[in-house]
Amino acid sequence: MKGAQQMSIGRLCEVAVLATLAMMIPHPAFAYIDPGLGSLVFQGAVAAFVTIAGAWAALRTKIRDFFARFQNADRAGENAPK
Amino acid sequence: MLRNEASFRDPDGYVFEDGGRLFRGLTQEAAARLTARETFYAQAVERGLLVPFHRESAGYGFVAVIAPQRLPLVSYPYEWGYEQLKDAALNTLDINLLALEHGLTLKDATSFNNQMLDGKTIFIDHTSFEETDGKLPWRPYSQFCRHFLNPLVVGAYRDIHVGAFFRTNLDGLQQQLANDLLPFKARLRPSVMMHMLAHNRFIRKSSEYEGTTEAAAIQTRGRQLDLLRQLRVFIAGLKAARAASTWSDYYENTNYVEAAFEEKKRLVSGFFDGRHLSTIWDVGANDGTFSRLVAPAAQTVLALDLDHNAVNANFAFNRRHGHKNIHALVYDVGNPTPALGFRNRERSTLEERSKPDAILALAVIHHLSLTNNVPLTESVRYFAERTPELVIEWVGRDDSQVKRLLAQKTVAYDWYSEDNFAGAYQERFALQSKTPIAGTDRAIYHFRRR
Repeated sequence: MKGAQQMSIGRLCEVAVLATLAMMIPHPAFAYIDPGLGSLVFQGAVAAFVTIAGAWAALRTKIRDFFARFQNADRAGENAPK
Repeated sequence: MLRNEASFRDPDGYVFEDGGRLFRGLTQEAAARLTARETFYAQAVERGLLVPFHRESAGYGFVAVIAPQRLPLVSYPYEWGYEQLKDAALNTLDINLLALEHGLTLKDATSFNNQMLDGKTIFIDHTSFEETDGKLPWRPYSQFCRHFLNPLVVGAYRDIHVGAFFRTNLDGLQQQLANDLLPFKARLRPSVMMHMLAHNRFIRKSSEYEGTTEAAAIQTRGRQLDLLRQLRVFIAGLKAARAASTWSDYYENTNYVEAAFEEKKRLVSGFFDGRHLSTIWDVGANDGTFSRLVAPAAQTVLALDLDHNAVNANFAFNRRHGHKNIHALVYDVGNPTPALGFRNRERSTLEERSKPDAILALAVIHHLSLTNNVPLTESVRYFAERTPELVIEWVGRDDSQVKRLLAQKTVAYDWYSEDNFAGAYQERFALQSKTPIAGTDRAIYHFRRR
């Protein structure tokens, strides 16, 4: 009986996930360029890395902006020759 | 009504002209977005990210029309140096970051959507935005990589004119090719590993996902904000590979005695003092010294050179010192920007986009004649077709540059003489003045087309 219960819980999870995904389908945003399915799936695969990288980048930007107030930097900031 | 030849892909609206004015027509959806996100558009214009525009009454078959400010010059990524492409990349990211604050994101990330206005890079495609919940995937990602990230990373390691990739492929530098051009040490950088190497693995598997995955249905937990921030920090830190160029120290290594150089500057600026022209081309502009000299006399100056490193340095210098009306572009008289794209009308030649009132051709004639083997009777046609006024420097046989060029030749090049030059050029131009530069075998000729 345990096996059957496990199977039905598994099935329940599967349905739940699919239902969630179905509800999450965004409004038809038709990018007329071909985004390349590979690139989209890739972003899904690296989402966790992106989150960490983004936080790190935000921190670096904060630090740079803090010091940039004392310099005359153009948009690129880091590469303005002294 | 004249449709803009390059603006036809976006179903949300296209650019056209009427009565000499520029307009962009909007669909219902785009118009609604413009109204609903008015604050975003206003902020984008205010921060110098987006071309200023104002709304017009409906017409021309559109429910809404906007009139964007006209640009003094349209230029293409294959005419840009490294820093300009990088500036465009950062501009694209910045406008998308601002858009995310207002529930919008970009639909595409093509380098052609960025242009120069008053010395700054701005975005020109007002209909390139769509609503978003801010989650990954960021749909323009692969295009952003092709148009910006790939060429900028490759250009940071290899001394190549990365803009040139856009000539052969208007949709940018493909991932596999970009990766193949990288040296081993580049592959060790985390950002390269992610955006170029790992990304490519998935790109190559794209065909496997077809039929099983719907593009519109892919959703993740990550945020576009994080991806864009990371891209911005990474790209801001890139710079062009060290130049192996022979042109970079041009003015230091030529035989210009200081007094002679000063006299040349005095002569050239003298021709343009107090004048108000629309456009001047400086062909063979190198570091832009003479472009800047004549800049006060024109609304727009094109500083053209075939060396991408010189163009890049010129661009960076002008940006730093606020020379806003000079456009430093990569351009080779011997192989100028062609007409490209659909029907060869989508992207036009430089001559179609810019009509000079005067051309400076300083220290160019000997390269045209001796390196490019263009006869004097032919090079005059180039100038006569393009400009009513020409300031050109004759470089004689005793000049050290010419001697160096002739030393490599096995033919005598007897036809290369000042008499032949003056004769050939006076077929099409009337001589206004001729001034030898003391201490050199050079002379400045001032012509007006007959």
